[in-house]
Amino acid sequence: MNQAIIAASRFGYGAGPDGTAAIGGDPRGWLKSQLARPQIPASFAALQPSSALVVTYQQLQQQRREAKADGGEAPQRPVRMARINQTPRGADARGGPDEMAMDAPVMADPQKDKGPAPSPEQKLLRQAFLAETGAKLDAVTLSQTPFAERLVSFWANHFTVSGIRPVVRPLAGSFEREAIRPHINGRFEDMVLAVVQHPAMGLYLDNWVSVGPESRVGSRGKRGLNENLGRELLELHTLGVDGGYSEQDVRALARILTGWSIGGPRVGDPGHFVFVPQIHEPGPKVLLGQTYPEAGMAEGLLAIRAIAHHPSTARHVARQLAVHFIADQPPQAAVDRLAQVFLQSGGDLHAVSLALVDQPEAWSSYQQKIKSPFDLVASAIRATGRGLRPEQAVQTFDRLGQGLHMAPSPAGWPDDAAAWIGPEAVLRRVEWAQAYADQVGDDVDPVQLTNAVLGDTIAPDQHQAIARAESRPTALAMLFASPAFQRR
Amino acid sequence: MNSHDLLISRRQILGTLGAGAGLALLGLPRIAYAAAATENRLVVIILRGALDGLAAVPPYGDARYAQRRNGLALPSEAILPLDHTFGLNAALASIQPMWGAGELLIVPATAGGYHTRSHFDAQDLLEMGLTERRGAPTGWLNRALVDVQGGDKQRRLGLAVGPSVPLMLRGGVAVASWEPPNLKAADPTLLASLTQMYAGDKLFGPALADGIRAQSLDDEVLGANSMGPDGKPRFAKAGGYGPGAFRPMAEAAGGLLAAADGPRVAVIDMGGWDTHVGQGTVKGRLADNLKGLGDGLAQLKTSLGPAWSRTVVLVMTEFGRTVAPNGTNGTDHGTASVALLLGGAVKGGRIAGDWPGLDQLEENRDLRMATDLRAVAKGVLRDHMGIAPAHLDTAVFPDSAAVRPMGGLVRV
Repeated sequence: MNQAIIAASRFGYGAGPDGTAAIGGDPRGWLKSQLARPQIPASFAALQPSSALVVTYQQLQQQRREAKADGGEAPQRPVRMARINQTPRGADARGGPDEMAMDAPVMADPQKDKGPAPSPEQKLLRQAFLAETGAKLDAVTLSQTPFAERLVSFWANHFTVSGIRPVVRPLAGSFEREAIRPHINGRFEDMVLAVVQHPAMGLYLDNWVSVGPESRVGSRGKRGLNENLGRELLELHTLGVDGGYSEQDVRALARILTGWSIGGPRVGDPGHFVFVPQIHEPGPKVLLGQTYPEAGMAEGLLAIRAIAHHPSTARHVARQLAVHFIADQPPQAAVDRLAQVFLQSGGDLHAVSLALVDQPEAWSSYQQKIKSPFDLVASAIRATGRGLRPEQAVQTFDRLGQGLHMAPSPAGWPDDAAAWIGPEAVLRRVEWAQAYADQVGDDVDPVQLTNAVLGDTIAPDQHQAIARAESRPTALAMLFASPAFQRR
Repeated sequence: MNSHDLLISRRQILGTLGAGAGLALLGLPRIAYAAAATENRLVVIILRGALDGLAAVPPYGDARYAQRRNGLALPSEAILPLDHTFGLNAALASIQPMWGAGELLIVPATAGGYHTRSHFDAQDLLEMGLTERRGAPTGWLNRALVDVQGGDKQRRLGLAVGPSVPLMLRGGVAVASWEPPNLKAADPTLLASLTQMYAGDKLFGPALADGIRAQSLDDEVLGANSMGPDGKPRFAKAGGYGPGAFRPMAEAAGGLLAAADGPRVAVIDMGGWDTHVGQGTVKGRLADNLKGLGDGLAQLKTSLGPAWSRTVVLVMTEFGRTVAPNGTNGTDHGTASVALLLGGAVKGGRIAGDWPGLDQLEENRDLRMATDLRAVAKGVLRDHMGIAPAHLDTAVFPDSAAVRPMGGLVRV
């Protein structure tokens, strides 16, 4: 099969209308060179950093509270949601964890929701989310370094933050930009650190309100430890569920990370990571057999380094990569080789990504992976050059079952065929293919496009079916719905 | 496309009207149109995939009909006779009253004057008004609008009904567009094609088969029956695909065209005519599609209201199909098909143009062309829309002076 098509589709988001012309005669070299100079998407210029979003959000909440305190009715029905950091001032802090329900319907679509008009917070979050959606789609569909973009998406899914917590949804994009993207060619431990310190992760896995029971604030008895981040860090992000840790280790890591919070009006740098000693659990902790004497924030830095370099982490990460780039059930030999590179390089992700390109199985197993809905839509847009409006993109991904930044759990989106291809899902994909093809219209030559983006990777009978379709939009729909296009 | 942004914004306006499109559209006059240069309306319906004209308007009186068509010859109970030669497929019963009222004109043995059996190429040429590809891809109807709009390119007297603007309406003149709201169930024709395409794929094949079964779409895919247990078409929802999807589009178009300050020219697409396998001329896929077409045309008349009297509807397709059935009880790509003209402004109740007969066939397989579709279109544009013949011969249909406009199609 055409190696350039494999490079484009398996490692990136598929070929464009010009086919593989940009790839040239050395597909492996093309992929590797992308890592040296990953492109910064132009679409990011207009986006807000997470700190700005968090601060604006804090201010809006503050105004609402003041309006209420003045005796006047709040202009709209107040929505219960996180009060981002009111915590650390001690007992008088008003926003205890019990008040911090974050399940409010912040992202409810005002057009669909016949309830009260959206609050300023809701509007802010929705606008930010739409902007992020458009920018993400542009980033992957316009990129000249699509392998780097796929790595960004892979790691962002590995360290999922999900808008299931409404306040997280507009932050997921900045999380990707600020915590993931700078480190895809760096060291894994730096990525873990950036992830743990990002407000989106702090909010999503509750660590910003996790209070050491024996800390100055905790000893007053109102608040306590939240193990959420400690557990997922070990189970999902580093060692893996079979990585050899215990419940004691989960709690130890959670205690170590107490005090890792988010700055607010009264503490630290608003909207940025802050360490709050008043809620940090004092005393020594034992994690994975290693004792961490009381050292405030330094405990967490040491613990993250330790788990990031753990041999179980190398195996876990290597397997995740192999599942994404080779097959749902990847050959163990390839997993072992990748784990070896990870371990020997000290978690150098650049070295690991280069090794990935060099795995023969990553090429010989082409089309064993099923595109996720995001991959499918993104590759169709790359193929035709016809984008979607952000609102349209949001609707499309929702219908196809992969709402952007809405992964069902901290484990992220599933990465296997069984999760994506069922009777209902296939019909939804066909419906999407038809609707998108209709939108693209009839001034695209479907046969030329099929040749450009699939080359010889589509079976002759599938190719012929496209060529013989009764109209151009039907032919295009068949291209997007063809097994060859839906696989990578 | 320079009018792209405007189209989207218009779609958004119209999209808020919701699913009861036809009635809601009556509230449309807020979208400002300048007073139109003409009160006459023209609707072009493109049947994509190549209509089997011999199935739609069977020449049952032709001496060779039964023998040539073989298994596809319609039994007499499936024919509504029009004269001694031609009848209507009974699936088109909804438009039979228009024949009696003199509002239906049939032009048999029509083709585009080009020589290709590729759907894509033929549809392009049909819409560009050319016999071979050249120049920028713009549509003849858009070029005709230059005259209709009196030189004002921003007036939007043209309307595309559907998710995209067909080539026929694309070009330098800004047009409006309307699309049915919401995503829709997949087209049964597409599902049937994909069922074949997925046959060799162990993952997609079974999943699609199960999905179709679960949605009880088997009948539609097989062409057996598109009617629900309540006797209503299963696809009658606005924004669907399949035979029943045409009617809501026609309803919307009628509502928009009826408005005093609405568009004057509209194009509607209808697909599903590429009947290579088990075409179901009496009962099945083709019959269902014809019924969908007929019902939609009747709806168009209703929705246009009084404006129907000033309307011409031109129904055309890119080429015809083989006279004889192929090995799978369907038909393959052919040459001439049939064109229909309907409307209160049509001088109907008759057959126009020559009938080449079924004795001598094109390449020994196809119905020969007797009337060039450009002649029909030119006749309508000249006599109904008031477009200057010189403009028709050069700009609208370039280098077509030899193709004379067909006269007497409309009541003057």
